[in-house]
Amino acid sequence: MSNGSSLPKIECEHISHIFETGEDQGTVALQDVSLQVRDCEFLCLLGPSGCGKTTLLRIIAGLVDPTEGMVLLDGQPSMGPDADKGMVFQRDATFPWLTVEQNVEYGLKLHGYGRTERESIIRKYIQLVGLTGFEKAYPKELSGGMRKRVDIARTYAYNPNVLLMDEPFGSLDLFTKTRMQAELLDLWSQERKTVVFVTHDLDEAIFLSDRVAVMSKRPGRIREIFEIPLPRPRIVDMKVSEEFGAIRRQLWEQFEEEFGVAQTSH
Amino acid sequence: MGWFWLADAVFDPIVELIRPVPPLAYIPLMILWFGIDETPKILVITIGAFVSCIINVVAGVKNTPLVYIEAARTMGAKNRDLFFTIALPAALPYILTGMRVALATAWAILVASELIAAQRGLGFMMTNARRFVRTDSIIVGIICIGLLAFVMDRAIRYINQRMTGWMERREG
Repeated sequence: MSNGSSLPKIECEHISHIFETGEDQGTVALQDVSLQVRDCEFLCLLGPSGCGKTTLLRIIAGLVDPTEGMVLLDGQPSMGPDADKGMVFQRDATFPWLTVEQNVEYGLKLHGYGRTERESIIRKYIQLVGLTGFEKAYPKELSGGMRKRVDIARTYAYNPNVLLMDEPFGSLDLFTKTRMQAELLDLWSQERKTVVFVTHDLDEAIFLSDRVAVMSKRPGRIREIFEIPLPRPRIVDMKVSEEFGAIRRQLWEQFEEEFGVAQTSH
Repeated sequence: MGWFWLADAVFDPIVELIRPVPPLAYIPLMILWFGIDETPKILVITIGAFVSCIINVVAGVKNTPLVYIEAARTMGAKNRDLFFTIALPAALPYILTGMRVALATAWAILVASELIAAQRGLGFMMTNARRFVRTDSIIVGIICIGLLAFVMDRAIRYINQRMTGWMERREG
């Protein structure tokens, strides 16, 4: 998919965002954030809650208009949500009144795919996320992890250029989470997309990413961007490797310096 | 009304104006205008049922969880798609509850208007029986009204459960 051009896929240019709070100033969530995401790269936005990382993602998605600055997609200004940018939410966003296959079909219908084409795409992605046999099930019959799989299949199915993920595994238990991370990487290695993944989980960010952008305290800025040199394909065992540990320590120092976790804990 | 702000601006004041008036209060006016035929009853029932239903529908549409709307928007849904494919299905349980309330209201108005002015029907039969002190007929009338109401309510509950099987419920 990459045509070798050096043009970044997503560019955030001098984005600032202020939430009106009713007081004079409002809350500055983001201040002059510039970020470039390369084509087909997996980038994590890492920071504790309240640092503005979700806001930045929502701005990229077009769900929030930034107070200042703009988002470019393929060099073109990108405004408002559209089918180029798929998003997976932290909260459960599967439509409960639709079955698994109808959920996956939703985006396809919007974009006018024909019936037979829809069916083959649905079958493919349901199989890719391992939900074969649950096509007719309603979300209420599924576990949290399975619903997330539906969300991911639904977003992948209509083939957006860019995949935005807002702590998608945040509410899952450690085992399910680890499995979902591996599955996501598996899917991503089969169909490369540009991914921006928001998380507060250090290990998750290192395991998944090509690059990790560490956010600063509020008002949010990008503090530093780390290349993650771990080879691909990544396997879960890497999480306990020496190399992983070294990267982890390095990132943690940044965290410590910025957020002073150790000083405030007891 | 819960979705399109223009519709809300136009119809909300009208509904709020009509709502406080018990539908039965329209009966004398309707009789004057349309006689004691079926037309005035249909009109009064329509008003009564509509008003008791619409509040639920509007509330349902307005309470559509934001995450569904945002998810659909990121998939490229426009406002029209959002209304038909997200807001309406999400509001369906509210809408069906509204219909259940509306049905009960409609039934009450029907019987009451027949008691006041009619040439046939259960209510008419009962007023007539009162004139001839036929207590038995009146009691049969009451039982019939109760049974019919019960059957209709069950029917709509059945439809409700069939159509909203996807909902997470407390009981199985």
